Amino acid sequence: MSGELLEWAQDVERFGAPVLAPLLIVTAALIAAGVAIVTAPRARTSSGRAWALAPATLLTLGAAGCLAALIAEDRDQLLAWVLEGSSRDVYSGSAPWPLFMQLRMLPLVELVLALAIPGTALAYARAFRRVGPLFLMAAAVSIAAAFAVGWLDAERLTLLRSIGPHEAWRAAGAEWATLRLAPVVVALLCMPALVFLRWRSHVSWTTSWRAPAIAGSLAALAALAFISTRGHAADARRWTPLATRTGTWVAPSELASIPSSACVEPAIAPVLDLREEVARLDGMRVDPETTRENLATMRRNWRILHPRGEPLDVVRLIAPLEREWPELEPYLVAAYRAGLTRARFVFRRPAIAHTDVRGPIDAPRGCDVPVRLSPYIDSSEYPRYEPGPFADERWPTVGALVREATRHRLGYAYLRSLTSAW
Amino acid sequence: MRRDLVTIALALLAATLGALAALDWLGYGLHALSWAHGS
Repeated sequence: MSGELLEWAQDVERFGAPVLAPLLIVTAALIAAGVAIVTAPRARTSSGRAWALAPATLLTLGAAGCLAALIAEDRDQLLAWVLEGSSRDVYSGSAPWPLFMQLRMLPLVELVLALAIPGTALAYARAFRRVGPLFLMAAAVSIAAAFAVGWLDAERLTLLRSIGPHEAWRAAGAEWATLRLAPVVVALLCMPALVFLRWRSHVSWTTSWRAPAIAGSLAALAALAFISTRGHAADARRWTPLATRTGTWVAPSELASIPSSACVEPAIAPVLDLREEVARLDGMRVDPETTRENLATMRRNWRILHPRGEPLDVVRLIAPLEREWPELEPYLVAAYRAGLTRARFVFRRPAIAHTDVRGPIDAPRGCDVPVRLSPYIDSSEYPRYEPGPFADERWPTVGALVREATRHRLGYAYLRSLTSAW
Repeated sequence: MRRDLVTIALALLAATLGALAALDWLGYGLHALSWAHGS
């Protein structure tokens, strides 16, 4: 299922990120409208419909406002994305995905409840005058319960997992994931069916047992859907990977033994790929001269594209460990002449991620090993009195340089742990 | 009136749980998008 999901995701990606935001808003609005229409008892009259549509309208406005706020917040990031054109591979860090990640991280559930439930409550209070106050109380309890569930999910997840049949779910694997998603689909499909039935029915809903029966069935389905999506929610919240990523490049296996303290966080920076005969800078074929020109241009544009970020002074390098220094030198010199003083060799460390939906999966992690491009410029990644290695002929291969850099990084991490202990 | 209350309670429960499940599913889909993109 996750494989299909990824294919679908890549299809969506071809249409471009901007499609996703309206999709999200429309989906949320549809859910709210469904909730409102199913629960609003006199939707056949125009005023009933108006009341039923109120929560959906509120929700749509709320979601649009929320998106607008995010766009305003991250406008430089969006600007960077627009200016850098459609080639998303160029600067993966400045693509607008973080924007949508933030949108997802927003308490959207709380937004839905906060906007849709009072609207629905008003519809109820209007239709059932006698039980209106009771409904409002029920709504308040429900909102509190939803917040409690959210809090439990976020804060007490490990406790809940330790008592649940978590391991058994993990073992069931990917096929089970499809089954677990099925109730969600059924619940979503039931919503329009129920709306249709509600609209067409000539039976008085308030005197028949049909309404509670249908509502009960729907509640059971929804409960099933809710239980079956706990794993998905947990995976998404913990940012666990969904599948083994099939990258176009594979790290040298020698780096499997590198401890994570030797790595630095991957930087948003141009990637110089030196694995093949022809070097590529962010995917474009380059020679040393064009490398210098392109990097200098990027460095000039960096301040415009990333006004709040650090100036560009680092280049990320991909090179096999056995690559020898003379082959590398012209490109590193070009980067240095373009004004970049630091370099990082990009590798991957094999790792296993434990997910709820798909069980344990291979999830190699990135590892950037910093080196200096000049002996004269200090780098914040090394202690001042013991500067890290810089790229030159003393380390004849990439492997030797990276090993030396790792040794320094580990020494630095050890020193840092000592100072933090003081 | 009691029947109304039962209907209201069940519908509310269904709507809340359904919305939570749908949003979590949507969140997982967005997570898949971000993962496919490689961020």
